[in-house]
Amino acid sequence: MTRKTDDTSISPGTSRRDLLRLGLAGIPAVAVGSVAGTGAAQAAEEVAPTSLGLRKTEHVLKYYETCR
Amino acid sequence: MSGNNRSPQEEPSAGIPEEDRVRADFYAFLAGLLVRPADVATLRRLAALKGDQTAIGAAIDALAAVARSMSVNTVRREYNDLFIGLGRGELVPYASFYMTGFLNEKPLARLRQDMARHAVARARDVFEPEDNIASLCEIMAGLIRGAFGAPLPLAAQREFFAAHVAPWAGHFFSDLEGARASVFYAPVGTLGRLMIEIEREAFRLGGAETG
Repeated sequence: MTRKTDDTSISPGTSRRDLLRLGLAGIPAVAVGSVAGTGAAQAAEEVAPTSLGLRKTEHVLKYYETCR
Repeated sequence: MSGNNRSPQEEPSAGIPEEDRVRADFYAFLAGLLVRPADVATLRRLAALKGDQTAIGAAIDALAAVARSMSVNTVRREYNDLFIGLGRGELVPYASFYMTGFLNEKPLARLRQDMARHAVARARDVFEPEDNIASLCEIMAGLIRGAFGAPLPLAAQREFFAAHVAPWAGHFFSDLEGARASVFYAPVGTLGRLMIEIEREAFRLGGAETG
């Protein structure tokens, strides 16, 4: 990983934008569109606390699986 | 849903400088890889990627190679071994855990305060605590793009990054690179680590610039 050091080594006068341009140059444009977003966060509307109870998270589902 | 109630990936990033759009896209890319195991379509798209001579390009090539050679089921098993496990996975991808040794501690409380300040909320049907790595990458993407309101000025982005991402995400991605169970996720760890290093350096340089 020596190249990274080259990419991010700072010469005087390097701006943030130059660094980002250099550092992130290796990302193929198609890469970023290749994975669907997560949908885990969204802009807040009203935050209504809902009643909780047992939530079927991945951990809980995994536990159920192992109980079969 | 109201007009400003969009998930980040739906948000057009018009008017945002190209470098920032790439940053946001890359955060969203990492979030998408970490939030759930890759499906068939994702593996197929990843398999077609080609990197260049840079460190990020090499990691992209490595990711494409493992995407070509692994099945969805194998990736799902690896994801479970790494992040879910029985009791816990090999890694615990939460800021709170990395910063305090426990889940749901002060770092999560502080994150929730900052999310509220920036009008970001956890999606309704998501129950994971918000300080997991996928959510934080998605929040960074959304804050940069302005998916939760106006794009966040650089100074505020730096503040959010310094408080919630920088203290632990680099360690997490290094752990992911070197985890026993990591095959598909090893290059994902490399990409994440490189991104955090670049971001950290860029924010340091950006001190004089305005957002």
